[in-house]
Amino acid sequence: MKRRNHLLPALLFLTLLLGLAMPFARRAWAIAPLYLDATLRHRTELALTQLTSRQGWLLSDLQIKEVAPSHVRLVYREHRRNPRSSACLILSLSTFETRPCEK
Amino acid sequence: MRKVMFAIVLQGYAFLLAGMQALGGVRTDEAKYLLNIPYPHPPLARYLLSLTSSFPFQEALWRIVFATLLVQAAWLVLRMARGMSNEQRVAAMGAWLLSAAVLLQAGTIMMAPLTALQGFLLLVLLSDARRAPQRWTAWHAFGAALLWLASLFTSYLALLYIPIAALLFRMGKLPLWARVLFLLGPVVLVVLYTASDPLLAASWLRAGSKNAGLPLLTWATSLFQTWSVGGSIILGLTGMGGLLLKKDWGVLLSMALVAAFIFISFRLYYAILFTPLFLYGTLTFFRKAWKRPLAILVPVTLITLLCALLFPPQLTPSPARSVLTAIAARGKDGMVLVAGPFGHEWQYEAAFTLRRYHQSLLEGAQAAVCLEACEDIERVPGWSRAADAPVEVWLKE
Repeated sequence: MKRRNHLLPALLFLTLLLGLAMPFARRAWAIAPLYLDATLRHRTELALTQLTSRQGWLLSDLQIKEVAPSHVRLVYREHRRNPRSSACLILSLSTFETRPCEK
Repeated sequence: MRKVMFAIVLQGYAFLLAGMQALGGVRTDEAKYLLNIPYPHPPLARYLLSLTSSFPFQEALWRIVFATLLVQAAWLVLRMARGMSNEQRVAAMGAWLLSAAVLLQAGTIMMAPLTALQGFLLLVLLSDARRAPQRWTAWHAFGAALLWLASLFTSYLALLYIPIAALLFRMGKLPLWARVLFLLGPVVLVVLYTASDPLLAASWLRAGSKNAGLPLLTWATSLFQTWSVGGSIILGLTGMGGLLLKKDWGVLLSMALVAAFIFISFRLYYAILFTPLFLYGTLTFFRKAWKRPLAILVPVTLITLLCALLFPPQLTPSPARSVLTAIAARGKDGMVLVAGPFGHEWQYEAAFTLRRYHQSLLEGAQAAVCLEACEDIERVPGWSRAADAPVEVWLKE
């Protein structure tokens, strides 16, 4: 009986943690190449710097969603009180040009 | 009835402190949280704040809520001081309310006061658990684990209180695996969250190396100033004295972690992270060594006033509000461009799209704010400099 007393809250907490961990793990997996490949990381940094400078965007308005050897998928979201605009973009790591994400 | 009257008086104090902070307008860090800009802290509190971003009174609302939470925490002091004499309880509560950190930081919309409050709640739970360990069940630990999880997802600063959480999860008869789960599960989760956003990690790395070239004396002076504000010196001394007398190594370790973090971070607003730890130690000091401590309130008040003179809160707003309101009053469409480094308060106050100045963007813009020189703007036809603006502003005719 005593064992069951601590088992239920601990299992409940573990379930909560696993439920929260899943979306974080999926996002971390999608950008894992950034952590594993220094060249790709440097190229991405350069592409983001050029993009923000060209558009006048703030880096904090960008969120990297996915990294591939040829491109980065990111979301640009304006941070102001309202109304805010947001857009999903594919940033090429070779030309540094952007195009909208495919629906 | 006396309790209701006291709560009303406390609320009046909270309104006063929130009003004082409102004089300075929204600061860059506050704007970051109010707009849910995704750095430098995890998202829980800033997400909740941003849900109200369409409210015209968003800033006032959260100033009042944050000030209320810190001031009404006086009830938690009374709870921790149960069993002590009235004089000791009044002295402890007064020291909390009159400490420089509470006076200068209640009403700021920052993560540090919120984290300090969460640390304070962990200490209240620890105090309860130590008082009646036989009543501390796995469900109490579960509740504490939820608080610990929420604290870590409010701010990374909560990690500084990890020794207190560890003490808390050692209470009761939990098996080792459950203790590890409650303590480290949320830490692993917050690490995973950080890994999912590389810009978040980069913002901490940038901030961490910013002060590397400064002399050691500057670092030490900054730590002393912050420590002084954290407990108006007196509360710091009695707090550390109490913890040493009791050999409360866990809470002392937490204090050392806060000190180490402040040593490298140079931010006076982290002072409040010390305050709950000082208060916890001060209660022990009162129990063990100071039976008539009401006199503590005199030096605490005097030092708090001195701190307020030396490190006054920002009482004048940045030009962002007046400049952007004047631009909006023209009733034109188009972006506003800003040249030079600017704080997030410009984003907060902007009713239109705001971008960094670049000459190629002038065509779609209606105004340019030149905090640094706006390159070649005087040569672009159709643009003229606004008169009487507090900073250099150019408007499209």
